[in-house]
Amino acid sequence: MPLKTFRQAINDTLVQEMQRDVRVILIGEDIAGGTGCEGDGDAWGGPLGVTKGLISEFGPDRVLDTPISEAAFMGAAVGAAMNGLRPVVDLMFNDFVSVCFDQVCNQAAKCHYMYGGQNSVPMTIRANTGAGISTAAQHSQSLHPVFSFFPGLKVVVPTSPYEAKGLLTTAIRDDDPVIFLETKLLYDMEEDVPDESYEIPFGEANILREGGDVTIVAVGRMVHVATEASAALARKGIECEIIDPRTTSPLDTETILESVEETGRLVIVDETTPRCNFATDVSAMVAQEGFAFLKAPIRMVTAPHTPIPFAPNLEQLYMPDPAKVSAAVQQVVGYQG
Amino acid sequence: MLPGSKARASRFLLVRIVEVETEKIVNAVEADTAGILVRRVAEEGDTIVVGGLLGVMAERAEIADDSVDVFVAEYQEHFKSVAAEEGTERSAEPVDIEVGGRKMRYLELGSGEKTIDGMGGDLNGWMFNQPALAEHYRVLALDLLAHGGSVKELETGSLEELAAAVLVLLDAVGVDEAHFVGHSLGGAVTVQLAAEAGDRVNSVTLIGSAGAGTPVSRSYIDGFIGANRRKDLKPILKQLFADPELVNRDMINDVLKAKRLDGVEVCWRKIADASIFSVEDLTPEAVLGKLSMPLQIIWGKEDRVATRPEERSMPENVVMHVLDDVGHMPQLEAAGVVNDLIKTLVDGGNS
Repeated sequence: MPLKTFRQAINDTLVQEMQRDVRVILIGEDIAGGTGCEGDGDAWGGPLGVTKGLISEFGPDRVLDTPISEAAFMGAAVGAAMNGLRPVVDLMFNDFVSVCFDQVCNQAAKCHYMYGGQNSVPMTIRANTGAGISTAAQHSQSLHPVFSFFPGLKVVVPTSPYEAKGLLTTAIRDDDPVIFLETKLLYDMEEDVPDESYEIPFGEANILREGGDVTIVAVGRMVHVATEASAALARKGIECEIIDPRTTSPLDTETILESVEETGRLVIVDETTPRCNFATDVSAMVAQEGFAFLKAPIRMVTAPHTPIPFAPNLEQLYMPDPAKVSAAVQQVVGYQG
Repeated sequence: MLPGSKARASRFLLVRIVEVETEKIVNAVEADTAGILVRRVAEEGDTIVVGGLLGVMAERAEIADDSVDVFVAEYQEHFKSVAAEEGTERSAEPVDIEVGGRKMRYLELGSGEKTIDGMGGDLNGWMFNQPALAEHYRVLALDLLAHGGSVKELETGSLEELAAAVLVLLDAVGVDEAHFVGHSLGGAVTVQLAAEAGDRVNSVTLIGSAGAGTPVSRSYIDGFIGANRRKDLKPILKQLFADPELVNRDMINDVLKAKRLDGVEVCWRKIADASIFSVEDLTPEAVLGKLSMPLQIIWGKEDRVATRPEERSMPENVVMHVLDDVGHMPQLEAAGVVNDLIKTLVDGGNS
C-alpha cells in the first residue's frame, strides 16, 4: 500500500470523488492560482497546498476560486447543494466560520428540517483546525465543539491519512452538511493509504489501543498525544484504552460507555478551551449514563480558558501534551475515594 | 518450554517453543525437528532478530556443556554476518500485475522446482505458511479477484471466472504447473482449476474448503458480507476460530479495511451467490471423485463456517485430515501441522 501524507490523502479523495460524480464541485478562496505561481493553471492549492493541481484537472467550472467573501461563497454553496450539486467548500481556517455563521449554522444545518425534508444540503465544509504553528489567536482554534452544538451538522475530526481519506469520502457522499476539520499539525503525517476509494462510517469510534486500567477519549491530534503518553504509562504498568470517536457529531457513546464499564476510569483530552467543549460533553454523558462504572472522578485535559498565544513557547505550554495526559491518568489511577 | 523437555516433531503433536504474537494473531513457534532442549539461549523479555537463536536441541540429553557452548558461539558469529548481509536487502513485497486488463496481486517467496500456489481471503492469510514452505519451494500467494489488492470488479463472480483469472496470472508469471493449496473459497477455486486444467495441477490440498460438496454456513457468509462496523464484525470473525480469543483489534481493523473498499460488498455478494451457494448441493464424490492428482483435505474439527464432511463420504482418492481444537483457519491455528501436511503431499506426489 502506498505511503501518503494527510495532505495527499485529502487531495486524492477530492480527485476521486470529482471523477466519480460530476455533481461534486470545489468552492473557496485561494484554492487555485495564487501568489508566486505562473499562470492560473499552476495552483498554489490553498495556504496549506491541499487543493494543489485540481484546477488543472477539472477546470474553473468545477474548481471555483472566489474572492475573500466567506458569507458569499458559503451561501452560494448552500444554495448549490439545495439545487442538486454536492459542493466541497474550503473555509481555510475554521475560525472564519464567524463571518459565515448564518450560512452554516442557520441555513445549511436547518434547511432539511425546516422544509419538511423536501430538500437536503449535501455539502462538505473543509477547514483546518488547531494550534501549533504560530498562526495566533484568530487562526488556531479548535472549533469542533461549536459545530457539534448544532443539530443538522455532522462533525468529523480525522486523525491520520488513512482515516482522512475514508471519512472525507463518506462526507462527500453524505446527503447532509458535514464539517471536516483537518488538524494543521497532521498535514505532513504519513501512513499507508489504499489507492482505491473506501468509506469509514460516521458515529463509529476507533479503538487505537486496548487496555484495562483507564479509558482515554481524545479527538484529532490529541489521539496521538494520548498514544505517546500511554506508551510511557505502560512501562509503569498502567494500561490505557484509547478511543478516537472520529466524529464528534454523531458521537459513538456506546463504545465510550462500554470501555468505561471495563476500566472504571476516564480521561478526556481535548485541545479546546475548557468550557462547553468536547471533553465536557463526554464527561457529562458518562457521568449521567455510566456513573455506576466510575472508580474515580473523570479528568479533562484541555487548554486553559485564554486566547491562543502567538509566541511559540507559550503556544506549546497552552496545548495538552503527553506529560499533562500522563499526570491526569496517574491521578485517576491513584485516586483513593 | 524447559530445558530437558523432549520435542517430537510429530505431525500431529504441536511442540510449542514460544508464542509469537503478530498484529493479526497469536500463534506458536513449533520445533521443526525432534530432540531434547539442552540449552535455552534466549530469556523471556529478550529481543531476538528473526532467525536468531532461541535454544539448542540435541538428540541426547547427556551432551557435554562445552560442545553446546561451541555451537552457540559459532551460530551467533555466523548469524551476525548473515544478518548484516541481509539487513541491506528489502523484504519481499507483493507485486501488482495487469492480467487481461485487470489488476491482480501476488507475493512470491522462495525458489525451487516445485511451485505451490495458495489462495484465500487475502495473501496475508498465508503469513505462517508461505515463508516456511518457501524454504523448500517457490511459493506464490495470490489475491483472488475482488480480494486483497486485486481488482474489485467482477462479471459474474463464478468459479469459472475466478479460476480463469488465476490461470492468466500463472501464465503471466511463467508458472506452467504447480501444487495448489486452497482455503475456503480458494478451495472451491482450486477444485475448479483441477477439474478444468488438471494437467497444470500437480496436487491439491483443500483446507476448510467450499466447493468440495459440503455446505457453507449461510448465516456466516451473509453476516460477514453485511457487517461494516466493528461491533457487528467481531462476533462473526470469532466464528472462524476454535479459540475466539484469537480475534484481536488489529485483525478486525484489517478485515474492516478490506471490506470498506468501494465495490467489495457487491463483488462478494456476487461470489457468494455464484460460487458458494450454487455449488453446495454437489456431493464430494461428484466434485472430487473424478480428479486424478494426489488430493488431501484438511479440516478443523471445530469449523463453524464450512461444514465438515464425514470421512466416509469422501471418495477413495481423497486423504482427509481432521485437526482437533482447530476451527475454519487451520493454516493459522495449526500452521506447523498444515505446513507439514502440504510438504508431505508435495514431496510424495511429485518426487
